[in-house]
Amino acid sequence: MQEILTSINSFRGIRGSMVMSKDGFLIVADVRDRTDVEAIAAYASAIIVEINRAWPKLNIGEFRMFSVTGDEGRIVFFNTGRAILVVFLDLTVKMTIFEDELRSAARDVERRIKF
Amino acid sequence: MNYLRRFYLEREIRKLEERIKESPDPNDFIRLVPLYAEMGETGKADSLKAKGKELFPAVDFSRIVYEKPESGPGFNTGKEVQDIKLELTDHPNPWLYGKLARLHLNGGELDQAEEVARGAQKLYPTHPYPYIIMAEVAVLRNDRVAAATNFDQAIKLDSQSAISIVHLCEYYQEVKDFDRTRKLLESLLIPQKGAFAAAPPAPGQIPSSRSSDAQSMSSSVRESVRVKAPMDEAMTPEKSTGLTDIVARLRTQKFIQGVIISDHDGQVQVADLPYSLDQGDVGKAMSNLYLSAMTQAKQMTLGSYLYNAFEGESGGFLIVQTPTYVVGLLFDKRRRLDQDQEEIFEFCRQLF
Repeated sequence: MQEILTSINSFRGIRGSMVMSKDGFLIVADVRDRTDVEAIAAYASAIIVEINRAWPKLNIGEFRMFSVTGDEGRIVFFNTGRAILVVFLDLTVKMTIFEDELRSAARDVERRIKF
Repeated sequence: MNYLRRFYLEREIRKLEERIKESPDPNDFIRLVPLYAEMGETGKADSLKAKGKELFPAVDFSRIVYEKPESGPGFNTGKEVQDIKLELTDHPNPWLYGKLARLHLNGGELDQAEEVARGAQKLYPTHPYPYIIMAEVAVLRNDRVAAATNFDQAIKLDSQSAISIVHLCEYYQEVKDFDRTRKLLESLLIPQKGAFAAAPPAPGQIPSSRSSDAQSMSSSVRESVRVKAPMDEAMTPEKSTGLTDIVARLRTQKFIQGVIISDHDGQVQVADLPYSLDQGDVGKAMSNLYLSAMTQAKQMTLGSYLYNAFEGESGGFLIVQTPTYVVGLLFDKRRRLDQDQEEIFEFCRQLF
């Protein structure tokens, strides 16, 4: 799992990545700065709860990913079945550049996660 | 029963049936039984009661009341009619006349209903309700032309009368005037500016022609109530109406399938969504998602919240915060949201 995160983090503009369970527990993380990844996992789970409630009303099929963008950065959450792959991005970078790699990494995480 | 009500009942029944199928709850049984009764499917209502009793023996399903007392067995219509007539002598108002006419309608007494509605029309010529009753009488008599004339008049007096608009649409559909049908339906989907000012006056504000200064009050009410009817609006070139105009501009992007705009308190201001989606449901969903993401953005060291995007296998949803409004955009499934969110965000920022 660590290898997947290391390969994700090799892209310029990515500040780090982690894998968390859907109920907000950190599984593995690889971030460059002192980001409190456990706290972020907990905060993200609050949004996931809201997504689970709201999703059926939007009628857009199975949930794949969501992102939150602020004026200091962006976090992207990929649904990997039982877990969530979280990627921290700088605002200066366009995700389009390595989007396919991130989606492929999310599929790898899905294959490796076994609870 | 008009078919707006039928549509609502069918939707509620579907929802409750699905919930009961997933996880039976006695409260859902209690809500569902009267809906079937109102639809006239008493057999289904009874079997549902029996099923509920079987699953939840402790609950007394025999005490379920019908939604409308006048539809229930043993309801004394005559007494109700007398009571309303008495009340009308003391506090006359168009809604009460409407209630009286509706009682006659429910009892199949079309002549009496028409008589009451005509009386109310004379007393309150600027109020839409008597016209709606007259139109419903005409529908029951299968007089489509008279129904359309009365619904049209009701719409002129209350441009947001959904019942009148939908009935009138049915008429235009029947005479194959699809352009008018479409434009009328659009007027339901995109509320007009000042829609709240177009609401019919409350009972207390209605002047009776019996009062001494009825004439002057009547004309002032007429001035405040008279708004441009959807038909007038639909048949004239569109004007720029603020949010409606913004929705139209957003919808020029082919990959945007729906737009919903609410204020920061979650009140939907305007929406143009696919027919399969419920405006209220999407509005609530957007408001909750927005509040949740906005609250967590700071905690997640992202600074001030700007926007968030959701992607499903058959479409996407982007929520953008602007100084006054929250904008929700539904995306085409072929579009990958992560490619467009920045451009759309900038586009929205410029629009507002």
